[in-house]
Amino acid sequence: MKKIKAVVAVLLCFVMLLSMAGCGTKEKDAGGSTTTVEKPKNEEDKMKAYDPAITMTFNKSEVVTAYPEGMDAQNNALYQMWEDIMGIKVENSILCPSSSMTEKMQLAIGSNEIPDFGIVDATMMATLIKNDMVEDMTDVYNDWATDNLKTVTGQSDNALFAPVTRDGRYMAIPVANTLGDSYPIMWMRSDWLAALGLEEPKTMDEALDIAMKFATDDPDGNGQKDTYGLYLDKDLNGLDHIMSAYEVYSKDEYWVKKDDGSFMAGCTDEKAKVPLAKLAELYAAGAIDPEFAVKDTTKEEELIAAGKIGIYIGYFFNPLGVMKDCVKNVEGADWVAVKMPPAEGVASYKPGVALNVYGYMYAKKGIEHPEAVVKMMNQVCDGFAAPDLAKEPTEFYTKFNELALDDAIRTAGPNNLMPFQMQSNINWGEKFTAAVEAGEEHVEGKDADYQNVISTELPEEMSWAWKKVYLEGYLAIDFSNVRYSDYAGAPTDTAVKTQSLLNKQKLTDYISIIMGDQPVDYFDTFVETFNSIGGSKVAEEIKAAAE
Amino acid sequence: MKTTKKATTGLMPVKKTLGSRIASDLRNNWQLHLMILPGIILVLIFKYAPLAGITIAFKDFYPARGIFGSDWVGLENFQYMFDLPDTARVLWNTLKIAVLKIIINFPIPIIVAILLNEVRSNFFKRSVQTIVYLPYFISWVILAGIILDIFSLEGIVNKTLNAMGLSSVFFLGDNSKFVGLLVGTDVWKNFGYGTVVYLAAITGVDESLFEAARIDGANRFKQILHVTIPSIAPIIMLMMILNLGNVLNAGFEQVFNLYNPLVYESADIIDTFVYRISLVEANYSLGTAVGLLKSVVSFILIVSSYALANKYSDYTIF
Amino acid sequence: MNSGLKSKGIGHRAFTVINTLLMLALSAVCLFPVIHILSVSLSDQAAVAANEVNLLPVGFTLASYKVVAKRAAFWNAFGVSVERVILGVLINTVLTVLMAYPLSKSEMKFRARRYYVWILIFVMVFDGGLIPNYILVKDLGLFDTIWALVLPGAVPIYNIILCMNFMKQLPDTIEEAAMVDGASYFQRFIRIVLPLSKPVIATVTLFSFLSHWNSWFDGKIYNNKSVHYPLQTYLQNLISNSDMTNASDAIENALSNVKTLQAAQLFLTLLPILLIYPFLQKYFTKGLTIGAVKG
Repeated sequence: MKKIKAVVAVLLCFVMLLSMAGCGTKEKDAGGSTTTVEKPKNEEDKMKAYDPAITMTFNKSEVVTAYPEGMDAQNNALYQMWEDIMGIKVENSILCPSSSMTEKMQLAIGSNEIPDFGIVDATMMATLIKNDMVEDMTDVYNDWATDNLKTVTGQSDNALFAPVTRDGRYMAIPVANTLGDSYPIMWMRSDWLAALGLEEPKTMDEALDIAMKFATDDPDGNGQKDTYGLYLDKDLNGLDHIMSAYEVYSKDEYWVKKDDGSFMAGCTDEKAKVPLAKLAELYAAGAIDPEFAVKDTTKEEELIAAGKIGIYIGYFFNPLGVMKDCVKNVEGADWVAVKMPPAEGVASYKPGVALNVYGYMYAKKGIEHPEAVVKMMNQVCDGFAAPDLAKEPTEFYTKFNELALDDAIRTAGPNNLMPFQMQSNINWGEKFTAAVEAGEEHVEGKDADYQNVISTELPEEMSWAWKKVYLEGYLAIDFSNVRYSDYAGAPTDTAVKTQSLLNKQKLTDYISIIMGDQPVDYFDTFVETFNSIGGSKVAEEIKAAAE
Repeated sequence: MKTTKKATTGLMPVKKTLGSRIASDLRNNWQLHLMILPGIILVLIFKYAPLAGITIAFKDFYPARGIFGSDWVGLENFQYMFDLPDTARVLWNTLKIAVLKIIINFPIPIIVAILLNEVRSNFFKRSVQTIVYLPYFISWVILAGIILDIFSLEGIVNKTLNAMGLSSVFFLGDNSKFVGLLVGTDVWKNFGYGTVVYLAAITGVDESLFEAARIDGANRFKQILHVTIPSIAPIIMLMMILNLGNVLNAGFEQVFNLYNPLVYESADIIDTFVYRISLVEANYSLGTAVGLLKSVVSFILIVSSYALANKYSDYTIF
Repeated sequence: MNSGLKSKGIGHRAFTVINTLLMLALSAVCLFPVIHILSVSLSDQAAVAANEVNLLPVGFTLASYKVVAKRAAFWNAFGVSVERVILGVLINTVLTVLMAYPLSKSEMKFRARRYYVWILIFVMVFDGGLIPNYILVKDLGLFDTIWALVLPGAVPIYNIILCMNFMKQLPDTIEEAAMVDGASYFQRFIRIVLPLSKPVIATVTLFSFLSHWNSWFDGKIYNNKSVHYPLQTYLQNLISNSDMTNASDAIENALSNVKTLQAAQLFLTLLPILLIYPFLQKYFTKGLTIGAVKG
C-alpha cells in the first residue's frame, strides 16, 4: 500500500508542476475591443483593391483531389487572381477536406487560434459566437456590401441570416449557394415507365403507385421479382421530400409555426400518417429494399447502379453519381427527371429545404480589416455568383472566364480553386439549353461544365450524365416555390441537449412504421414520446425566442 | 519473474533519510538514470503536460479564456452526462459490448496460436501467420462495407444457412444478433495480432519440457495443457491486464460504421452518443469528462488486476 | 520446435487434417477482404458501383493504377509516411531499449525503478485529451512538421514493457561476470545486453513500424496543410469525403474519387506491409520467445 501511495504522491506532484509550467501557456484575451472600421467613401471603394496587398488567413475546404500541374490549393492561378484584383493574399492556415473541417475548426477554437476569416456551419458558428470570437458584422455588412451582394445574400427577406443573428445583429454573413443544390427532383427509370406503358406521375400518390408497379410488374422483363420501386436508406434520405408533397415538413430541426403562434416540430405533424401508411404498404409489398434500414447511402446506391431501383428522389446532380453507372451496366437503362409532384388535392409542390448556404463567413474578432471579407464577397458576387446583376462585366468576371478556358484549370474546376465560391439562384439549365440550341461554344460562368455537356470525347455514360444534369435535371427545379423552417435561429438550450435524441427518435419510429413493426397509429405514440423527451420544451423556447 | 517485494521490504527498516537515499542511488546508478532520462523527459512533455487538460472536465471551458481561465464547475459536466436521457442504456451497452469483446477476444488468439503451432510445415505456418494478421490493417470503413455484404439477407452467410435448411437471420437489424456481430467481426479484425504474439511465446518454450512430458507419456493435448499453457502464462497475464484497460472502449470506429437505426437500442455506445451530441454543439468539457471517466475505470482495473496477479501468482509484469 | 510425435495414430492424423483445414479456413476468411480490395481496384467502375465484384475482378482494367501512378498527392503522402516510419521507428527503438534496460534491473539494485515504471503506466491510461495535446504540439511549433507525427509517440510504453520483460530474463551470470571485470552499466548494456536482445529489438521495431504506418489520426490533427498528410490520413480523407452533398462534390467524385481508385490506393498501402512483414517475421518469432517465457 505504501508503495502505491508514494507513487500516487509523486505522480500528483508531476501533474501539478507541469500544469503550472506546461500547457495552456497562451491565456490570450479574445481580442477584447472591437476594431473600428472606416466606412467606404463611395461605391468604388467597395470593390477597390488593397494597396499594398493585405494577407488574411483562411480555412479552406479542399475539394480538388487532382490539381493542374504545378499548382496546389495555395499556389494557383485563382488565388493569384484574388491577390491581383483585390489586393488580398489569402493564406490557407487550415487546409483539409470538408469531412475533417469540423474537427479541425473545433480544435482551432479550443486552442483559441482560428483563421482571420473562414466559412463554418451554423453549429460551429454558434460555438464561435458563444465564445465571443467573432466580429459583429452588422455594420460592416450594411456599409460595405454592394446592392448586388445584398440581393444575393439577403434573398427571401434576409432568411439566410437567421442562424447567425443574435439580438438582431449579424454575427456572420451567409455564403449563399443555389437553391438547386437542395431542391428535390424525382428521378425515374424512363425505360421502365415505357416498358409498363406508364405516364410520368402528376401526383405523389400516382408516383407511389408507379413505385408499386415497378416492383410487382417486372419492369426489366427478366421474369423475376427482383426490382424495387422506391429508393430509401437508413438515414431516410428522400423521405422528407415525399412528405413535403403532403405538406408535411419532417426534416430534422424543421419547425412549423401554427396559426396560434405556437411552434411544432414538422415531423410530428399528423398529416404524416398518410404518406407513412403508403410507404408501409410499399415496404410490405416488397417495393422498397427490405434491408434499407441497415444500409447507408453508399451501400443502398449499389442497387441503383445495378439497375434494381425505379424511383430515386434526389437532386439535379445525381446522374453524375451511380445513375451513370446504372446506364453503363444495364442495357437500355435511362432516367428521366420528373418535377416533384404534389399529393392529390394539394395545389403545388413546395419542398421544405434547408437554408441554401455553403456556410457562414465570420471575421475573427480583432482583425484589422473585417470589411475585406465583405469586399471579397462583393467581388465574387459580381464576378462569379451573379454576373447578371452587375451593370458591366467586372475585372474578376473577365479574368475568371479567361482562366477557365485553360484545359487543366477547367478540369480541376476553377470554382474549387478559388478560396470560396458563392452561387445565386440562376437556372443554368435554361442557359445551357439555349446555348446548346444556338450552338454556342462557351457559357461564361459555368464553362467548365458546359464543355463537358457538349463534349464528344467523354465516355458515353459521362456524356449522358452531364447532359441529364444540365439539360434535364436543372429544368425540374422551381426556385420560386420553396419553404424554409419557420425557426432557423440558434439552437435553444434544450435543443442543444436533446436535438440529437429527437432526431434519433424520429428516425427509429418512422422506420419502424415503414417496416410494419408498428401500425401507422403508433405515430401518435411517437409524437407523445417526441414531445416528452424535449420536443415540447424546445417548441416553447423557440416561441419565446421568436418573440 | 519473481517478485522483488520481499527484498525491498527487507531493506526498509534501515531508515535513512530520503535525501541520503536519493544521493546514494544517484551515485551508484547515475548511468541508469541517464539512460532513462531522454525518454522520461519526452514523456513528461508529451504525456504529462497535456494532463493539465483533464481539468477541463471540471470546468465550463471557454476556449477564449484558456484552460486555466475557465470557471470551475465541479462535477457539473459529469452530472450533465448522467442527466441525459439514454445515458444509462448507453453505458450498459458500452460495458456489455466491451466486456464481451474482452472475454471472447481473450482465448481465441491463444487457441489459434496453439493450433497453428501444431502445423508442421514452416512455410504454411508463416503464411497463415501473415494472413491472419491482415484484417488488422484494414480500416473499419472498408471492412464495414464488406461485412454488410457478407451478413445481408442476400449475403453468403444467409445463403449458407438457407442451403442447410435454416431460415435467414437478419444479423444487421436484429438487436439480439447485432452485438454478436460486433464481437465476432472485432475478433476477425484483431485476433491475428494476439495470435502472432502468443505464437512467438509458444515457439520459444523450452523443448526439453516437451521431451520430459513425452517421456512421461503425455499426449499432445496433455502437453498443451501442462507445458504450453503454463509456459506462456506470463504473456497471457500481461495481455489480459493490458486489455482490461479497454473495459469502456466498445470501439467507436466499428460501431459507428456498422450500426443503424434498427439496432440503436443495443449498439449505441458512449462514444457514438457523444459524437451525435457534439454534432449539435461542440461540448469540449463533456468530451473530456467522458474520457476521464474511462481512464479512471481503466486505471483502477489495471492496478487492481496487477496487484492481484502480483499477490497470488508472484508475477511482476510491470 | 516441438514438432512431431513419434507415434502416429489415426487420431493424430485426423487431428492434423482437421487442423490444417481449420487453418486454411481461417486464412481464407482473413484473406478475403484483401482479395476483395484488389479485385475492386482491377475492375470496371460501373461494375463496382453495382457491387458486382466479389473475389474476381469484373471487367478487368488497370485504369485505376494508371491514374494513381500520376496522382501527386498520393505519392507525396506515401513519401511522408516513409519519412515518418524511418524517423519514428529509429527514435522509438532507441528510446525503448534505453529505457527498458534500467527498468529491467531489480529493485534492490535500482530503487527508483518502480517510480519510473509507474510514471509510464499512468500515462498509458490517462490522457489529457485532444485539445491540450493539440495546444502543446502547436505551442512547441511542431505543426505541419514530421516531428508532430514522431515526437508525441516517441516513447512507446507498451513496447518498453515487452522489452523490459525480455531483458529481465537474460541470465544474470554473464552480466555479473562483466561487472567483476569492472564494466560500467553503459559498457554492459552495449557489449552484453544489446547483442543478446537482438530478437526483442526486432520485435519492437516491427511493432513501431506497423503503428507508424497505420496511424492516421495524428496526421489529421497535427497538420494544417494537407500536403503534410501521411498516407493513412490521406486515404481516410478520400474515403470519408466521397459523400455528395452538393454539385461540386458530385462533380469532383465523378471525376477523380471513384471506388476503384480508392481501392487501388488502399491496396498500394497494404503492399509494404505484405512485403515487409514476412521478412521481419523470423526475428519476430524468436523475439518474444525468451522474453515472455520462463517465470
